Amino acid sequence: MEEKGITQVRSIINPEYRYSVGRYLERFYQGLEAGKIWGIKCPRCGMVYVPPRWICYKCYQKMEEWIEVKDRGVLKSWSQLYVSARKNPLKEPVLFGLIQLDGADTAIYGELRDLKPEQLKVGLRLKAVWKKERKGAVSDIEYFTLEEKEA
Amino acid sequence: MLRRVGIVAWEQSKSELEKEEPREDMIYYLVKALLEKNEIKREEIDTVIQCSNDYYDGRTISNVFTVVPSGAYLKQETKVEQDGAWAVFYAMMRIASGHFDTALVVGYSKGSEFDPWLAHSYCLDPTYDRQFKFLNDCSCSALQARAYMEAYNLTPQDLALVSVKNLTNGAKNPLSARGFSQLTVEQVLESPLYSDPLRELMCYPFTDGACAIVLASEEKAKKLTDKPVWILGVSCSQEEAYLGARDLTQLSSLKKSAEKAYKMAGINSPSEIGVFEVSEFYAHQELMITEALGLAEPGKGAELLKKGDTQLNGKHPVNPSGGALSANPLCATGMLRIMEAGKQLRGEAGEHQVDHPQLALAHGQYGICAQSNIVLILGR
Amino acid sequence: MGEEKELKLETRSVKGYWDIQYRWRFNTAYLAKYAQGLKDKKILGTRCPKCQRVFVPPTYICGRCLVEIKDWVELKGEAELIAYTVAYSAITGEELKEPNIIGMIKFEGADSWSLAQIKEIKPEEVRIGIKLKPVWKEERKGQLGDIKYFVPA
Repeated sequence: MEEKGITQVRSIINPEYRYSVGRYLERFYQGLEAGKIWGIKCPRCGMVYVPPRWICYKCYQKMEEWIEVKDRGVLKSWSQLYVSARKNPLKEPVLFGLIQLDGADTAIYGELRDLKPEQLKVGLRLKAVWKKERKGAVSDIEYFTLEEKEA
Repeated sequence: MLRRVGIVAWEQSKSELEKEEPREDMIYYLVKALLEKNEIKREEIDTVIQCSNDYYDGRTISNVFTVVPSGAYLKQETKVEQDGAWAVFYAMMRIASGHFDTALVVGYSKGSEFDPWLAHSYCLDPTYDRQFKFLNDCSCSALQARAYMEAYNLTPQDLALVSVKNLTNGAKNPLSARGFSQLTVEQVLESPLYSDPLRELMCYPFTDGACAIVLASEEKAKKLTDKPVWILGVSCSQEEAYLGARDLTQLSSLKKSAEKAYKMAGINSPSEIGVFEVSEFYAHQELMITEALGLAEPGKGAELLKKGDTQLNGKHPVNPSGGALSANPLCATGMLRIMEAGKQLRGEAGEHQVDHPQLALAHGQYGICAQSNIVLILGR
Repeated sequence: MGEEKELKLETRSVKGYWDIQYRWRFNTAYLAKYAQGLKDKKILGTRCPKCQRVFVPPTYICGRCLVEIKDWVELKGEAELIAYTVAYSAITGEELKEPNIIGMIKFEGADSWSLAQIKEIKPEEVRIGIKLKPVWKEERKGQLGDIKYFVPA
């Protein structure tokens, strides 16, 4: 081009969305408020999904059988995050993982605390630590930690 | 019976970590160079497929703004909003249908003008997944890396070996965004830690780049070039979106696509393929990809690498061009893999040329933790 | 009946944001030269060397010929109204005090159309083909706003 003039402009796009959670997650969040964790079972393959959903992805079947699962389970994977999505360093690194609760066939996300790095392994038994005041959101389970061994 | 479709020409804009020029200029110079070098007139192109993404460009219906530089003025133009390899697949289908004889595919994005990890984190379910603030593209891939490493007793050193191979190959490719002529495992393990175990040199760089490819029907391809590269097999597949419901220790959608693509191309085993160009956004994904393609047994991807089989001069060279770890212009990456595979088949790959491959494989991925995969088998 | 009742159950909603900080780069040299021309009360356009089409506002790639455009021309004379619409409500949906006439105009010698706001004419009197001229600001700074609006010539 004859004339060169590259101008850089910052964005002013900031839309805000409001997503309705749907019937199934609504019941799940109501359960969290009450200190329970709900899952749903596929009538054909028997797979229990937590968090619950409408259709089993393998069988393409509508699910309606609600199952309550325990708030303890095993660690499936974990990581410790040091940077934000824009690669800025976080004030405190966050340890988090995927936890498969007893009775469920899928895993849920959760923050992990009070654990030493050497203790982390697939199959580690964990339990949920609930907030005292809950409002029906994922933050009702504050974090997961080592399940105490029964004496 | 579908018509055979061949790739007749390709051109790549040099991938850079940050390009001064705006995307319209980048695409214009690219398409102009492609048409002039190969003596193809704009009038000879029947359809143009663009590959871009609204959330990368920050504008809805993003292809509208790049119609003029892509040479799509008053042509049958459409857009594929996934990786470029899917756009090539779509162009191939258009030609195979018999309604079009030639197609131009243009894929591009500018990673320096938006936040790629944030854009990918918007793939996650807003009603549940996104409520967890620690989830983004890198941390989800780290969960996949950890699950894979734990299942097969691997260490971060095994992941670093992939980075060393691809980044040193990238140094031999003058068009890649980054590459190191000398790199050690220790240097990779000392680079900044993003999300354990993934470090900076194990993650793809945010890149600005574009790629354009011309495809044609068998009859037309033989007129446009004397070295057409035929698409012998293609298949794509995808998994479930929610990470907690997926088996993170393997890429089952890739395994399925690869089996179907091999069958379509009439191949019995991947060892018949001379070179593999795969899209590995994170180091551990290349190990999982070699297993899903059938080059190694589950869990033995790292052994294959340590034996040297996937090196430039190995039995099954993987990513001689440097792969996605050297340059990852999202939306164009899959097309770069197809282009590099084609270069290898024609013997035009320069310093990173592999010895006489008869068949080549190109792979593209899309979605968090390689949820969707596409495989193309190319031959001369 | 029971299932219908369940379907009408109100569920909570969660907020979502679109936080990507875009940092777009644009080639603004041609628009800057056009704006500079406005300061001197000139309407500038670019002409494709192959098809000879003239673009106002200026563009630097001709889509039909796929070539770069480097030739500038000055357009004199009046503009012709090609299409128009009358807006009675604002973009937010509120009613406007006065209806707003927005038109597409073609300068004499140009092949492309420009957007223009038209005043000093009643909506019912507007006809396709009427000639218009720009009303300039007293103090011009070389910006797109140097033309206030267009009025019948």
